[in-house]
Amino acid sequence: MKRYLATLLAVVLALSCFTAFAAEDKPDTWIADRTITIQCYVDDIGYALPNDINSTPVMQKITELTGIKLDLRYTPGDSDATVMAAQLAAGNIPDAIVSYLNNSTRPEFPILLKAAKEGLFADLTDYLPDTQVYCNYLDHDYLPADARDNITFRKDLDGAYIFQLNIAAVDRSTEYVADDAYIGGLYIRSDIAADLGVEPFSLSMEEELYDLAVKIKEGNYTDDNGNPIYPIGPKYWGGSYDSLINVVRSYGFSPFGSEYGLTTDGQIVHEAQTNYVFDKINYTRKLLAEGLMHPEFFTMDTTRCDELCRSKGVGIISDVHNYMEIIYSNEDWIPLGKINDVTGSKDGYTSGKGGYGCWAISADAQNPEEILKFFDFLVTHEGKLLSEYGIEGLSYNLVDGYPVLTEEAMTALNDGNSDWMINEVGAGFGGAGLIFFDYMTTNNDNKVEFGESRVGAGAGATYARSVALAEQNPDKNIVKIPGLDVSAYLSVDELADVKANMDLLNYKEMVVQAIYADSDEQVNAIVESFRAQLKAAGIDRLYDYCEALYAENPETIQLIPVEATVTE
Amino acid sequence: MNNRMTAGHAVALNNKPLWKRMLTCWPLYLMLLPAIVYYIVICYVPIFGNVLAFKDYSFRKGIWGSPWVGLKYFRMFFMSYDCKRLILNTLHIGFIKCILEFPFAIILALLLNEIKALRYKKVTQTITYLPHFLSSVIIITMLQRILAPNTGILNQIVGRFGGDSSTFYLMKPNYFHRILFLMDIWRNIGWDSIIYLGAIAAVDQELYEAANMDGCNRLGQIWHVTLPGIRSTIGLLFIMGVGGLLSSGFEQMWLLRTPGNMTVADTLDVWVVRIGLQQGQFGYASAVGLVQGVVGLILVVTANTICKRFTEVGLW
Repeated sequence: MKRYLATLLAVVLALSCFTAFAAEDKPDTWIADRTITIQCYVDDIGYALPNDINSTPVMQKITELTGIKLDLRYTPGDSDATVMAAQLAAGNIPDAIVSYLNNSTRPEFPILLKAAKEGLFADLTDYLPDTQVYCNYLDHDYLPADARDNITFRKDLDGAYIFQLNIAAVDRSTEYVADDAYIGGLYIRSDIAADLGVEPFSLSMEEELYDLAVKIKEGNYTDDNGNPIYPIGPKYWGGSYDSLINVVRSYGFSPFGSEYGLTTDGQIVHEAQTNYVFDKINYTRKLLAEGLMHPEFFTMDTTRCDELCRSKGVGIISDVHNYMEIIYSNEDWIPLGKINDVTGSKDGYTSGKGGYGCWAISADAQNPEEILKFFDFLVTHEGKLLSEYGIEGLSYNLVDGYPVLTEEAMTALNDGNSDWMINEVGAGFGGAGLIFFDYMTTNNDNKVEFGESRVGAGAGATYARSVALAEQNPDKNIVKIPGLDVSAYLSVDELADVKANMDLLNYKEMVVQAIYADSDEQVNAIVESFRAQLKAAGIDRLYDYCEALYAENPETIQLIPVEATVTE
Repeated sequence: MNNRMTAGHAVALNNKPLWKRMLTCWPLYLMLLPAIVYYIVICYVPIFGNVLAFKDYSFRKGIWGSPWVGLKYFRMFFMSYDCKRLILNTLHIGFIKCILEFPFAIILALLLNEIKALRYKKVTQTITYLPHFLSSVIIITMLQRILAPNTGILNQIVGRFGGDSSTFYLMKPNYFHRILFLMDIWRNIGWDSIIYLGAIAAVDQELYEAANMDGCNRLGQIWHVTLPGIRSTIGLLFIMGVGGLLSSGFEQMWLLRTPGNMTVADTLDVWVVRIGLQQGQFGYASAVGLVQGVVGLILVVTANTICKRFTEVGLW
């Protein structure tokens, strides 16, 4: 008996020693030996997936450190939001999901919120304090108000289910950083600008834009194929209503580009119920009628727009920015600057920190705390260095404590060799490589953490013109006006029926429809019909709710009082 | 002799119970099995999903566990601002697709049947079938380029003849139905004519010979022999087509829809997808889908009754 007992004890001791030894072998970052399956509803991620993510050097290193392997899935469809709606409705989600979500007014949010309310996602409240980075989300002043009050810590949710990504570590939203600034809006062909004596960033009024368009038309300029051009063309990425704001900026009721605004009488109203809707429509109709604006300004597909801009088929692109290859790779286009907004200002506005993208863990996932720990690892300094810069020696070297891309990585970045970045390294490279890793970042302060605002910005010549244009921009003032858009409050429970009706109305489509109407009478009829539909949808209840909220705390809604004639 | 035996065998088989017939002809029933499974799984099982129209769908609880809401969504839809416009637009497009386009495939089949040069007939058939295999996305992208203001082929032709070449056809509601009609005809006429060609081939050739002897010319033969010969096929397809009056098809409408033509291009099918899939209001979308289905069924039954009364042709 004693012999048996001794043998048993010896075995137990040996096993304990082995286990202890094995545990010691694992790094501090170890989470679990498992594969996490993530469904991504983000086309950018889907189109930049590696052939085998777990065999990339970055992922192998991550697995070595954490034990985690990844199975990333993407399902193409009519739109990512539609695919997500269908899969959530079927209750068919893997361990975690990743989606677009700039703010709570995005079309994806109602679906995500419904899923969270109905218990499809795991509540991570209890696990958050044990994280290294995501624990910051518990700090009341860390998250943007929208992410905190409307997304993660909503009053009508009994836990924390949806987590927004790309939150800045420190609020630098009012700081103008030329290294990182996007200069969007109108860009004019540099040969035409030189011919007509137009300086960069020289535009201030719609009338000036009109006069410039007339001069371009009278100048009989042609494209690369010798065909006549239109003075004002659509957005570089495809015809859209969105770029109209650059053409009619002061005719927008809200300086923030919202459909809702505040009158000097303290009334919150929709732009359609003010005089601004007609100012916008009539000015655009005039441009179209006189052949100053491309007739397919709102509808041209992406491919044709790209062709049109590359062949210089328009005098002015109505929206593009300095980080697009068509702008930074040559001197063909120069920025015209912003038209003043309705208040007569060229200031940029911010509501403070922002974010984009979000993730949630399935309620059916095993050990959700492990998945949270993994997401948390990705946003630690070590995780970001790995997932964004890759492997030391292969894609970067540390110089004075900051990562500097190797020559091979720099060449790949400059040449757009995404295959090398995605498959041979497997890092995000600031969105030029494996986008999933770039998407999954948060608590960002790149300049402080890595010495440069974006991967490779400190060493590369690729974006030299982008930065030069940003430095040239005279309008560097950014004003912080906290609060959400009025439409964000449509998602409160008591306005659910109003939201259901409002979802059916599309103001942008109505404006475009009126712009192309055959007569002024038709324009009136279209606008009046829309106004009636707003009333029928119960919009007055939204106004009442928001006005009460704004009176109580003006920081809840982003508004600036503007002179307006309101129609009852 | 052989035929007579086969017919006799068939009569004998018909008198046997089903299971015996199945046992005797098991290879045929085996071949039928995938089709039966397909219809059960794809067409009949989803019918039960219509219950969603009466429920507040919960992702977690699923279709059967979600709470009942009665006729809430039906009330919401019929009281909504867009209801009348959506129904009228859908009926208008349904009328174009089901009624106006209906005779063209018959006409093409009759014309093809009259072609004696076999090679020319086959080439013509192939050319008319091909557009059916192109996706709506490709067709509408082509259409956008053809109809583009100033640079589109149509506008360039109009411009060459001194007309206004800046017309933006896809943004004008008054051109929408014409574009839809022509596009549909071009795409489907060849494919739809196949079934009529099959029916024409089955018409007894002796009838043509008899008509010829009676002094009937080609047109007379078409009128007195071919058309009556394929009457039942025409009747059946018409009855089934009428069921689609309240259905415009989603893909084509979605792609053709622009802010300029949406007053006429917004139909129930587009609306169901916008509300159901894009905004996650599955119950509401199901209610509208159910209305479409029920109206379609009523129309089919009505058309069948009328057809049967006047032409003795019916689905059942």
